Amino acid sequence: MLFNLALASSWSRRHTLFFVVLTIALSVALLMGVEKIRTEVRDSFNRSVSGTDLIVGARGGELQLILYSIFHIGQASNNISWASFELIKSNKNVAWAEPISLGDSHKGFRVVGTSSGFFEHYQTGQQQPLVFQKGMAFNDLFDAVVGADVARQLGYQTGSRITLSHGIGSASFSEHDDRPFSVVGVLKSTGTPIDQSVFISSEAIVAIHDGWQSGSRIRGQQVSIEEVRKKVLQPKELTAMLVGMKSKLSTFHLQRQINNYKAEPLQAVLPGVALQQLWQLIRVAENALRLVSGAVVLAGLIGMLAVLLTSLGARRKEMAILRSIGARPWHIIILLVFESTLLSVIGTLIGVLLSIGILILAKPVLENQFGLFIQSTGQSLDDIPLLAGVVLAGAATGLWPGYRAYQMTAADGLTARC
Amino acid sequence: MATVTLDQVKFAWKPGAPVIDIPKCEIQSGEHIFIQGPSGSGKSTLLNLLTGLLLPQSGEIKIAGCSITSLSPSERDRFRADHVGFIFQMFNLLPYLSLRDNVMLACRFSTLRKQRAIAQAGSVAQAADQLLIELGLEKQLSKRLPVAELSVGQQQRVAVARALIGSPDVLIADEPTSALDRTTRDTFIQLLLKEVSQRNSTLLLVSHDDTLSPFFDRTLSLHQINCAGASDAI
Ligand SMILES: Nc1ncnc2c1ncn2[C@@H]1O[C@H](COP(=O)(O)OP(=O)(O)OP(=O)(O)O)[C@@H](O)[C@H]1O
Ligand SMILES: [Mg+2]
Repeated sequence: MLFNLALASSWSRRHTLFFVVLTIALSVALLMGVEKIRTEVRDSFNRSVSGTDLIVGARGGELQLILYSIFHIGQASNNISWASFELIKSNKNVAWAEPISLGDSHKGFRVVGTSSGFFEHYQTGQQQPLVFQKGMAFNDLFDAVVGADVARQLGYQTGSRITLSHGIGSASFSEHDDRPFSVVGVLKSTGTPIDQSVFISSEAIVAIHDGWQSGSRIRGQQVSIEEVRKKVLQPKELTAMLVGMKSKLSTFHLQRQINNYKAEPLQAVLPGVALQQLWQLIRVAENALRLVSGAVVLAGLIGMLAVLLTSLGARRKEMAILRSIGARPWHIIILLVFESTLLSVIGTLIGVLLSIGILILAKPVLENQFGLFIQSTGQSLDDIPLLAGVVLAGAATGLWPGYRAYQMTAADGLTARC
Repeated sequence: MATVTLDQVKFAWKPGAPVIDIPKCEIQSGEHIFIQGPSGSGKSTLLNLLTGLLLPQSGEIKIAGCSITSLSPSERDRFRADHVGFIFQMFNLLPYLSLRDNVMLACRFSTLRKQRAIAQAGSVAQAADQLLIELGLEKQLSKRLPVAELSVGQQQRVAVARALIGSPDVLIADEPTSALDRTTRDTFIQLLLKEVSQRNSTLLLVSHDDTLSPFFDRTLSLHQINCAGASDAI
């Protein structure tokens, strides 16, 4: 009854109120987007690697090591020698060790040189092993396995022929076009950087660089595929290695040994500890983002407050008419609180839809450019308290104009002329 | 029987500057009273007191047997909804409501008037339509004209319909004709008086325009009944 009246009144001022709704919608969309990306970043990091006890690479930052070896962000400053890999692999406490050789790419996707054991040992999420959607692990020298996104975006099937590029990034300068690979396996989606990788054997990495020196082809030295196959393709170095222990208890001991290894500057990190470090780093940015989006929501609500207070001048007569027919002061207050509630509810709903729409559009960019995998673009139930908070704050915003209107009608009585 | 009684009513907006000081004033049930006073003499202030929106600093106001000066603010609001119909000088209508909804508005805050309207016409909407037709707004009603497209005189007639729906005891009008030309004014007043008589309501109309006085049963000069402000009125 009173609500119909309030609705009709708001509708008559819809042209102004539209902008209030827009402001709130944009601020809520920003808030939701930030929240979404925050939780997705957290999930995506936590999901990325499991079942691996140690990551070993050249000495440097712990964070840097996990970033380039697992997330494919940035590059290693140094490689490690294959001899060290063999040494660690033969340690009596080590259950398995898989090499990782990075540095090449395929149409913007990273190429990972490893051994076929990688597909057995690497796990994501909650100890979930890698699963082949089609085909199997590489067997031949020029076999490749591709991640789910690579297959989907480039339309690859088992049997597709691909050539790799030297260097990283989609604008790669030189192609390894003389050494084509055939896709023999496609992995199931994991929501991790695995989906965006092309896997070949460590020997194949040696093979495609045969006849190359410091990043470019050696002139006049053409080695045919058949000749390459006959060569001994023993890798001399690798970027990093993943290690699984027989017993978790010996992890720290091996880590210490590796870190104190005299013959080569190596470092071993526990993925959990490195992730934790990553966390600490991200949390600062995260809190700053939340603060900014919170401030934007606040600005939206203050904008609404300003509009409602301004509208009171024009609505003076409306209030006087309502008072003259017996409306009580709280009716007047309700009228304004209803309006502010209505505006914040509509604004919040549009904001949520907007954030979902933006995420759907931004999803490929986030995955390709930032390695951030959005699992679902919908909003989680966890955001409901936050959204309810926004609506509540919006509703409360109407109290002040409501009180002002009440004061005004009390002072005007029936004398307000227009 | 007196419908409106004022007894030693004193009111001042600011302490020491009384605007209203009426020792005694009685208006009989069904009377049509014209209260005349120049601008600034306190006419609107008096009406605010009679509708219970303002409370006098002292004295008693009785309307339809009820001492409104001893009611709580919310009881006064309810009393106003049930027993008083009010017509402003101008801009009586909510522009975002239809003619009919503007008239029906008066029944929203009063169950008493709603029940009476239903008893008289079958439904609130029918009561509103009936009044609008009686006030010569049939065409505007059937065309569903928005309020903003009515002339000022037509708007004032809609305001009369709203003040009359559900037959409140007292109708109070604050210079309802000051924006009308002479002929429109006369037809408006005649229409208003006819409708009020039909319902046996009491009418209290204030204006500075003393040429309205012949239409009424009785004319009160605010100067004569009001002891305050007589000196400083313009
Ligand atoms: N809201 C208010 N606050 C303070 N003083 C007021 C207020 N309203 C009216 N007054 C004062 O009360 C006196 C009477 O004003 P009122 O509006 O009752 O006069 P009026 O007879 O209705 O005049 P008009 O014919 O111009 O409408 C004036 O001196 C005015 O200054
Ligand atoms: Mg006045």
